[in-house]
Amino acid sequence: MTDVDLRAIRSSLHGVIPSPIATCSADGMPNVTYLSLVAYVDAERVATSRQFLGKTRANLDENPRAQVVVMDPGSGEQHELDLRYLHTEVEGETFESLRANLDAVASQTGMGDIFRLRGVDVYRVERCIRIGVAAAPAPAQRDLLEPVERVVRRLVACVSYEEVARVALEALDDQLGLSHTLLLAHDAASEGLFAVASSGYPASAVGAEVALGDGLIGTAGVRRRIVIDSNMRRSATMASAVTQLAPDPREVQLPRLAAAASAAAVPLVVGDDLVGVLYAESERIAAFVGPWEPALRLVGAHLAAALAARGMPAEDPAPAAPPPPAPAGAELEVTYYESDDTVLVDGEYVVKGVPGRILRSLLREHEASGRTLFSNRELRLDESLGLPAGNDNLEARLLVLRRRLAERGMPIALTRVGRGRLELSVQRPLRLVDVPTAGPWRDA
Amino acid sequence: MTPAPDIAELAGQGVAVIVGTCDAERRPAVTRGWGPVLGDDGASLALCVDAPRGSATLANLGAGSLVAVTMSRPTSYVSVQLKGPLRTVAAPDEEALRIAEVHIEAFVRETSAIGVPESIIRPLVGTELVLVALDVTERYDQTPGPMAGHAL
Repeated sequence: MTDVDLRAIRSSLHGVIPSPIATCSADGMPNVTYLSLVAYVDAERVATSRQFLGKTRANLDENPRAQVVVMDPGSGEQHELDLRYLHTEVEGETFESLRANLDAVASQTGMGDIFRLRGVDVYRVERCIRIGVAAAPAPAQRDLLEPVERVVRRLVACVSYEEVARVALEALDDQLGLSHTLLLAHDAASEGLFAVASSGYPASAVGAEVALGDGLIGTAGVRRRIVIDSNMRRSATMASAVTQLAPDPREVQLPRLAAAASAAAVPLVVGDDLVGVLYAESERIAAFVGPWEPALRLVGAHLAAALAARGMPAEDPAPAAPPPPAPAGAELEVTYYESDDTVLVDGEYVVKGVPGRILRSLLREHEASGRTLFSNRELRLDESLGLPAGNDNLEARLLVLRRRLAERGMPIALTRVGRGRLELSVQRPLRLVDVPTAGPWRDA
Repeated sequence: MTPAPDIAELAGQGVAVIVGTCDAERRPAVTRGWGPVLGDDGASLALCVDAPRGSATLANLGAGSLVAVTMSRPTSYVSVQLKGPLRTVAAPDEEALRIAEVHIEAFVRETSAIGVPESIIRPLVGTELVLVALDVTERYDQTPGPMAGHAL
């Protein structure tokens, strides 16, 4: 039994403010240190991360008593918890949940291996009391169920993958006030994620890539667990040595909010398939604690289902198309690099990877036959594109290609003209150049 | 590898200070400290400690508990832990309160720099402080990482 119900202080159990812990050796010498995380397990138990806590560990082996102080990041209210150590877990739900979060933060800050979670110590809470001076009134807890339901209703009404991607981010902004969001699709072949839509950033993120396991987004994808960093500046401080690599100008950079204080990455999973990851940032610390975590899970589940359903093969009959007028003007040079399927148009980077292969294939066919109408079905049957069997995310790749062409103002456009149907338009005569790669490093 | 922390320098840098004690049953208690001052060439430490009436910390100090103090800089995570027997417990004098006030301001600047609003840091400072002095007999590097826990 505790004086304060642990369920009432769950927002203090998210690791926004480091929690001090005291233990005591058998001979009466206390030890005090900070914990990255004190996490809620159930109404009677909490778990703490075990990372560098050699002396704490030794003390708990001799004497299972500990005391921690936790703080609500919204109100500043503090609670003192008297704990009795029960056991250490190196697997299971609590461990995996904490590990996903800590790994994500460590990866984000370039400290992956050093910050490896070695286990979670589980304690029974013997006493929980409020301490300290009267805190500021806690901000009113927002009821998220209704706005989440409105987001879901808008997703259900969408008819295409592209519409789901656009409407999802609009609805998250309109209904939940999430004004900086990214939607990434999973590419099983490259073990990566690529952005198909972004909202609230000065530059479009479409086409940007994240490796599975990299940062918050990549960790959410590979672990298939929601990960939340409630205080990004503290996390960055924790990392004393962050590797700074110069960005590759040929690649699209993932936008980030310079003043971001907290972030959440939500895996989008249907059955065994990872469909993608939804990412949200906020300038407020602890913006995604309390009811936000279940709300984001709920949105993620519906978004995953909506994207997967609209990505399934379905085709309208081929529309009758009049032959397009012959393009005029200066030649448009389209260069395709076999090494990573990068496509440059008049020297300007457009896209790479599978979307690059698709663009090259469409342009080659157009050049050879004059065709402008294509179907998803023939793309799926084109072995040179290397689409994986099963969940090929073709709609997501076509969305990236269409957006990249449109955003760069290219004289090449790809338009959706019905379910599973595409129309290619080329405004200038083409000159197609392939740059082959001879050698073992082709990474297709 | 980062160099071993300079304890005296760290004590003057707006560090977060936590203080551990325990009772005869080996039940630990943790609280916060303010205005740490190293003395006797590092052989002693004096600081104000949050110890309200009725608290376990106040009772433990009254019973002569051994004391552990960890100082951690919020903007760098450089941390040390000092331990040793209690020397004295007293009501804080004006000088100790002045030093604590200077430290609190430095601490607020440090925590603001990592995004923690001042409004939730100020209430951390208790209203019932006692002045504690201890002999420092053990010193440890507490900076997160592979050297955490090594004796200094």
